[in-house]
Amino acid sequence: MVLDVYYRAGGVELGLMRKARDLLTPPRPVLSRFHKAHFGGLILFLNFFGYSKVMKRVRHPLTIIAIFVVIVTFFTSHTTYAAEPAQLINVSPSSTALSVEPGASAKGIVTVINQGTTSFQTKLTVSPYYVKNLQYTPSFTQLPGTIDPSTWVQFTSPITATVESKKLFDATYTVTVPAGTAPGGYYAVIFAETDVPNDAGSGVAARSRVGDILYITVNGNVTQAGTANAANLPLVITQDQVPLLVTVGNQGSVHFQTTINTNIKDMFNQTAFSYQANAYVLPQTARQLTTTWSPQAAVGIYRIEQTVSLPKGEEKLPIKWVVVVKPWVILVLIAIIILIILTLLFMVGRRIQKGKESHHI
Amino acid sequence: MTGKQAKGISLQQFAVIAAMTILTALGSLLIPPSVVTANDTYGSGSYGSCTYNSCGITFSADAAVSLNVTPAAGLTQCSVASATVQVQTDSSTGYTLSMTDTDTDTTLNDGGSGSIATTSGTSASPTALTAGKWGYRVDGINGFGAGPTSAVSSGAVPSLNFAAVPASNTTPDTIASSSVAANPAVSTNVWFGLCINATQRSGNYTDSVTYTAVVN
Repeated sequence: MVLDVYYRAGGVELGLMRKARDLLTPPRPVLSRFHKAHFGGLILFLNFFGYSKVMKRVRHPLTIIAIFVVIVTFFTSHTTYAAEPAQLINVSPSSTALSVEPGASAKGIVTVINQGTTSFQTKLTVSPYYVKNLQYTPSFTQLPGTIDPSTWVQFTSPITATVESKKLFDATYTVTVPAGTAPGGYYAVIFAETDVPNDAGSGVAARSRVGDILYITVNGNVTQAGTANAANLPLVITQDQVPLLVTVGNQGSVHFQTTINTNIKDMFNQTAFSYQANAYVLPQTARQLTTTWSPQAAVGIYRIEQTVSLPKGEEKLPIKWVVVVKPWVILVLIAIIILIILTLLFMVGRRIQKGKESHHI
Repeated sequence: MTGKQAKGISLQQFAVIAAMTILTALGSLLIPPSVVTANDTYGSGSYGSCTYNSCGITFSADAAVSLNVTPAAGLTQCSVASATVQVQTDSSTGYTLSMTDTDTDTTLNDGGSGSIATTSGTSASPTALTAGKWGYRVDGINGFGAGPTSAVSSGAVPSLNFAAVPASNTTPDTIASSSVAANPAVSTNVWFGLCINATQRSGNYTDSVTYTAVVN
């Protein structure tokens, strides 16, 4: 848009802008056939934004590319939703690790961000947090027979606020651990929720809440221990997506953060896939972490290497070799084999037929 | 105008264009993000221990789903409509999106004596809707089956199965999850359906659900 305004305004010209004007007003105001053929898409894109007059005077493909890069840079500097919803609530961070001595406090901050186009009323609440099963399905109620650490969290800022579009609200809190609390890991979640009136007057209204999970370590004599196991894989893989499952167990009394590095290499030792996953593992639980690999080649032999960080250090999981064959390749191979068999049968049949004919003669 | 210029771009002109392009591109990458304070405008900078769009979780949902249904004598009439929910996070282990009723009363109430109860189905074992029942379904997860579900307005009983929205004091139903980062945002359609017969009292029946998104 700056270029467009400048071009029409003329008048005052300074430094680079004058240079730009010189570039945009060359003596030959037509695009060559070569330019149109090779940069037609770019030209159409720029014309859409009202650059037709300018573009008619642009002579060199590098100039077109440069303008395109400038425009793309401006237009892609922020992440946007395809169609931005009216209400878009964000909390940052989405998990917080705190270490506190028994009888002491720690301070924290959670930011509620309105990324939507309309304001909303937000309310902060705290709930207990625990997980179920290997997939770590979250639950926000108190696990029977356990301490509820959500009662340790006190907000030091208002718990309700109106957050305008594209604005944020910082909520501060303290976590006060009662004296005499046993050392170990304790868990809660701070929710920021929207309170939405049901405009429809009937039907189902929705309240949205997003959480910042608090991983609280009560310092003292804690034990840390972990194990890791990878699930077996078949030697031959035909699926488009291959789940690589690693189960990390925590036998200690406090959580730890594990990092799983997955590196898959082909026969030529070229990296075909790599991924790093970071996750908390809660005490006395096992967590199954899935890395999904989508093999690109139709046929290939791959070496899968995985390392897992545990409290005792990094552990290398056994290396696996797999053969990837896409289903259509198998079908083609079967078709070729059938064709070969039929051809052989035909040839054998003809030979027998010829043998019989020569015997009759 | 020199012959060199007439043929195309000069070295000097190219240098200017290249400089403008590189400066613009690098400018957006190299300028350090400023620290943002409370009530500041969102869009760049640091947020707690995170930088812009780096380690938070973002959620959006349609504010309400309207389920208007017109009773017909001797018929069970049903309506089905959807809400779109979206989650975005850069967490390498993805997210879990769950849903419960906002309170322990899971019926649709008209503010008087009229109510529409939840279906007896669960997300693991959903059931078909019957008159005087409402529920939800999400195509392709738990026991719901692939669908696809389509919107109905005062029509016949849907052939697809629905589940009750769990009460707020029970374990929420997981309606979407991912084991990898969800960026760009991942959308899920949550379908709500209700059926009534002619004995249902006319009125505006409402209830509310709570969507909860956390990182894994």
